[in-house]
Amino acid sequence: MKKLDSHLSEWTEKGLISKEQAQSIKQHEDGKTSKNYIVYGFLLLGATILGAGIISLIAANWYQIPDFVKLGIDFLILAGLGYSVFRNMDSEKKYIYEVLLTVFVLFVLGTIGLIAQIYQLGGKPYEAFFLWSVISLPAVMFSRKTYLPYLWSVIFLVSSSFVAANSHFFQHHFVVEALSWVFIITIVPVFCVFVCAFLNMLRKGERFIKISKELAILTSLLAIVTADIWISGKVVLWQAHEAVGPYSGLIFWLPCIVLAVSSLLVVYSKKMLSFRGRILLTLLILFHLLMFAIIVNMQDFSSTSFLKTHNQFSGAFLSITFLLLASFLAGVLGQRKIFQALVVFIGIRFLIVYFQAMGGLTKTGIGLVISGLVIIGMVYLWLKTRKHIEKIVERLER
Amino acid sequence: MNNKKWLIAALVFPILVLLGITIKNQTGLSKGKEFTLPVEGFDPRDLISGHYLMYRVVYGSDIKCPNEKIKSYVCMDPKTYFSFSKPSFGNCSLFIKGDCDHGNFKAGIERFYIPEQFSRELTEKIVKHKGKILISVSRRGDAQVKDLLIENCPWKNYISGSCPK
Repeated sequence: MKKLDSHLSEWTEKGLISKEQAQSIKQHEDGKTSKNYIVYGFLLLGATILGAGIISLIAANWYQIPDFVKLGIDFLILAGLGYSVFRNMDSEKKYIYEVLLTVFVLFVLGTIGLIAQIYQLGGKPYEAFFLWSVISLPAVMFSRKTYLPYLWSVIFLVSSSFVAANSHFFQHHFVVEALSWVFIITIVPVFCVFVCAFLNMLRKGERFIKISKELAILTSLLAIVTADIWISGKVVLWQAHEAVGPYSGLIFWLPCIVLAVSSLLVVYSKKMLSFRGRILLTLLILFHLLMFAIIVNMQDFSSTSFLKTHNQFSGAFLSITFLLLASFLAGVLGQRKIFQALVVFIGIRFLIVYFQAMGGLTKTGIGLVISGLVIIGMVYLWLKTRKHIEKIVERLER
Repeated sequence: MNNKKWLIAALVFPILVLLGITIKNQTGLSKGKEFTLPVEGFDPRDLISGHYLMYRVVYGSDIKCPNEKIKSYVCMDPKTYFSFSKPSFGNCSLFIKGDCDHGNFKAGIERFYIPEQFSRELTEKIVKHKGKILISVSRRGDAQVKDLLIENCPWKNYISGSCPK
C-alpha cells in the first residue's frame, strides 16, 4: 500500500490525476486488499500447523488403543472433513473453504502415516509423500488460492525425484547414484516448462501454470548452481568410464529431448511468446541440456581439453552464459523482478570468479582492500547501467 | 452442478484409495502364512512416521547382496535359500520378495514402530539377541510384520510384565 500511496502522490503532483481521483483510487484499493492477504496467510499457516500437529499426534504411537479404533476414528474424521469442504464450497466466507480443504489434504497425509504405523509398513518417507501427492491432486485442483497447489507441487517434485532416483530402472541404468541426480536435475526444469506450456495450450489450471513457470525458474537455478559446484569442484560422477553402457546416453537424454521438443512445439504453435522470446526459450533449453551433456562427458579425465583443465572457470563460464540467456528471457517476458534477481546472480558469480582467481591475495590486507573496491565498483556500475540494460532488453522485445 | 460432482469425486478418491490400502494390508496379515524370525542390531528413529526400531532380520540363509538395487528373493519353505530370480513353485512353496540395497536384503520388514518411552528397553533386548519378529507372508511373497517378540513374548505383554516365565 505504501507503494500505491507514493505512486498516487507522484501522479497528483505531476497533474496526471486530481486529488479526488487519487483519494477514490486509494479507497477502492483499501477496500479490495485491506487485510485479506494477512487473514488468508495466517489462516492457511494455522491450517498447515494444525495438519502437522495431527500428524505428530498420530506419530506419538497410541499403542494402548486398538488399531481398528484408531483407523475407524481417522476415517470418520477424514470423511467429516471431506463433507465439510463440500458443504462450504459455495460459502461466502471463502477462507473457510480453503482452510478446510488444506486440513483435509494434510489429514490424508496423516492417514497414510497412521496406516504405515499400524501395519508396520517399511516404506521410505518420500514414498509416503509421493503417494500423498498422487491421491490428493484431484482435491488440490479445487483450491482457489495458490498456497496449497504450490505446497503440493514442491512436495510432488521432490518426492517423485527421490522415488525415481531409488527405482530399479534408474539404479540399473545409472550405475552410480549421482548420475541419477544429474538426470533428475536436468529433466525437472524441462518438465516444469512442458507442464506450463501444456496447461497453457489447454487453457486450464491457471494456478498451476503460474506455479510451474516459477518452479521452472527455481529448479533451473538450482540445477545451474549444482552443475557449477560439480564442475568447479571437479566432482567425479563415476569411477570407471566403461561402467556406463552403450545405451545409457540415449536413456539419459531422450526423455529430456522429448519433453523439451514437446514444450517448444506447443510454445511455437500457440505463439505464446514473441519471436525473440521463442528463440531465447529454445536457446535456453538447448543450453540447459548441453550443459549437462558437458558434465557427463567431462568425467573422462584421461583426455585433456580446455574445459577439463580449467574446471573452476568452466563452471563459471557455463553458469554465467546460462544466467545471461535466462535474464534476457525474463526481460522479454516482462518479468522485471526475476530479471533483476538474475542479473544480481550473474554479478555474484563474477565476484566468485574473481575470488577463485585471486584466492591467495584475499588472504592479505591488499587483497581485501581490492575486493572491497571491486564490490563497491560493481554496485556503482550496476546502479548506473541498470536502466540502460533494461531498455536494451525491452528493445529486443519490440 | 458438474463442478460439485467433480469435487465429490476428488474428495472421495483419496479416502477410497486409503481404504483399499487398509483392506489389502489387513487381508495380508490375516491370510498370510506366519513365520518367526530372529532379529539383531538397531538404528535410531524416523521423525516423520513416529518412533521405530530398525534391525537386521536373520533369515538363516547365506545372503550375498551386491551394492546395486536389484530384486531378490528368500525362499522360506521347504528350505531357506537366497535367489536373484523368482523361485518356481516346484522348488519353493513360499518366498519373501525384496531388494538388495547397498549390500543388504530388504523386504520392508526391517523396522517396527514402538512408543518412544519403551525404545531403550526394547533396543537393549534386541542388541542382546532376545528379539524376534512374527511375520505374515502372502502367496505373492509380500511380507508384513505382525508383532515384535521379546524372549518369545509379544512386546506389549513383555512391557506390562504379563509374559509367562
